Amino acid sequence: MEVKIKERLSQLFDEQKINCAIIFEKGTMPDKNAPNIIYNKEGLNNLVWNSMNWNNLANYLPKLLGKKIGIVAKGCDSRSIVLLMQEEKVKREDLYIIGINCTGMIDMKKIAKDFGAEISETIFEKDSVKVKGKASEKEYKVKDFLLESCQVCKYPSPVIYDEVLGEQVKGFEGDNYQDITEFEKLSSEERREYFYKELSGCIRCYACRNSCPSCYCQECFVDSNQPKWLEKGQNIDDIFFYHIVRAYHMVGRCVDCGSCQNACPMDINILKLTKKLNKDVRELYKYECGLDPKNTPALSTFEPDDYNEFIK
Amino acid sequence: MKKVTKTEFINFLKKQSETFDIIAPIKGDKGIDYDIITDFDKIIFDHVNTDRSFKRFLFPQSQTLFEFKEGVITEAKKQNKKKFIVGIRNCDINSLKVFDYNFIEKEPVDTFYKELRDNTILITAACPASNSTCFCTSFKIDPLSIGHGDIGILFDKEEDSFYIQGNSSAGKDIVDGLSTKDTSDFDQKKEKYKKNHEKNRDLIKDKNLVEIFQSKLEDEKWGEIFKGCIGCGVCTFYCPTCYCFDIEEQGKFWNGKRVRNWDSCMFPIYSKETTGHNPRPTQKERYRNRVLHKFYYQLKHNNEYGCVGCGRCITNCPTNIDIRNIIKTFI
Repeated sequence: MEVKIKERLSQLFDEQKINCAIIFEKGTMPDKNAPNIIYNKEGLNNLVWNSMNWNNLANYLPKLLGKKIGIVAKGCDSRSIVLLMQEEKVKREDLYIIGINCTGMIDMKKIAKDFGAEISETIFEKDSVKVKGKASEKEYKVKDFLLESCQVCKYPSPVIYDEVLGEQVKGFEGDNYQDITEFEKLSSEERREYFYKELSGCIRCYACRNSCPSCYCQECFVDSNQPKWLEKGQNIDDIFFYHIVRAYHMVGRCVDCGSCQNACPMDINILKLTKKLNKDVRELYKYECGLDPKNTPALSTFEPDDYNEFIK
Repeated sequence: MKKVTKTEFINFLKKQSETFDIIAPIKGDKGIDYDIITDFDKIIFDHVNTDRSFKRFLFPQSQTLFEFKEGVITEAKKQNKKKFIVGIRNCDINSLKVFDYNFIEKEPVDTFYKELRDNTILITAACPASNSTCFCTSFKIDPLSIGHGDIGILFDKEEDSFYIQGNSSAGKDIVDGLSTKDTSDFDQKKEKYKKNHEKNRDLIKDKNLVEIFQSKLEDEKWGEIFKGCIGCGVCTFYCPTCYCFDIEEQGKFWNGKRVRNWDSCMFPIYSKETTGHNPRPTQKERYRNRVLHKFYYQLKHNNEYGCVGCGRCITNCPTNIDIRNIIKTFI
């Protein structure tokens, strides 16, 4: 896969079809890869493709507006591209999308916990990873240690692409919001208790916001001080307020890529909020975002004969 | 120096808990981190380093300075119980040089920091091993030193015993009451742990960073190294030496409080001026500022590095921005 991606991007640079590319490079640590933007084919030397590429690369697109961009896109990345196209943050003709049929990304934090010692090397095979430490070695199946969002991913194959690499992958066929259905059964006190406990670890580094391709506002409401929408401190209500408002801004705009949760340094489960809203959008508007660029996002459209009075 | 068994050391901590809040590393959901100890058997001594540094106990992420109600100002409540922080690694204790210089040595003195600093006993511990992300030796820090803080300890896992030494007068007073075993094998024990630190690389090797960066302030490489950076505040909030804060009023103007919160130079609003102009408009300028503040500005003005080589920014960065690579790029 790696060789093919390199080959194609190299050709595209030669043919001057692209003047930059968003790729994954081999990281400086055995359990991390580094997303990067390159401007020539020499930059392809460190390109890597394995199951640690969880970052959503579409995140970098709005910053590159106006350039001809080559992008390597997993299923979730491609859905974000569709969303950004709908919202006019990127033009289809500026993009060359090398789609990847994604077999799911691995949760290295979980593996590190299971491994118990410092990881000094990771070797990726087709569907497994060999983890080496100073004194021990262990092999993990990728499918047993998938990231939470990858476990229930319905669209592992890219929904939009110029060419696609890898064998066709079957998406998750069950109910991907099963956990939310269960969570909804709890009383409001229980749910609040859950979130207060979970969010009490939040250090407000905003890694969740910044790793999200849908969060591209020039000025986020948390950074605004005139008007000031919320306080900056460590008060749990302020933290909760931030996470709820962030989730509300995602209604009908979240592609369930899980980047927010994977980026969180405090291992907070923040997917519950966005997933709940995704589920509501699916039920109320029969809409899933990031599938067809011709569609209008759920909350950006209205019908004149809407049954709600307020819209008339 | 004294040598005590683990049981004796735990009993010693239990005794201290009558006067102090004991803060020490324990295993949490995510990893090993400092917390206020209630169960003394859960304290961990043989880890490499904690998930977060102890800076939040001396410089809380959110700290009330004073409260106001209908024109009357009341000082913030002081915490009356003193703190006793156990197991601080040598990288982290060196970060206090940066804090002390900025908050105490320079006028005006930051009384909020000083108060917490004066009411805390710091116990440093020799580091049993280095991680691959450790590079404290770059800054002339000896990971096995027990000479910093109020008290220094070395935990020997094999023998389950502690070598303990009072450094400051307060520390000496506290250690005084302990009975001791023969400590003549201390150097031998220290030597034994040295091989665990081979991974700890000296990246600077006595080079003059002030001179190097002076000529590279506008280097085109600055446009390259930050590209994967998404501009979150993980590196700054995890950094033991980052001390920037922002002050704001919370509540209504006749009834509220003035609070200071950690701030991060990675956020756009950090350098945004009242006019709306931002002298650091993109992540490139923001990232350059962070690097230069650590390896150039502070070195030039205070002759101290703004980095202690703990590696937390490397381990926690969601996009694998590696500060070691950036040093290597420029020197």
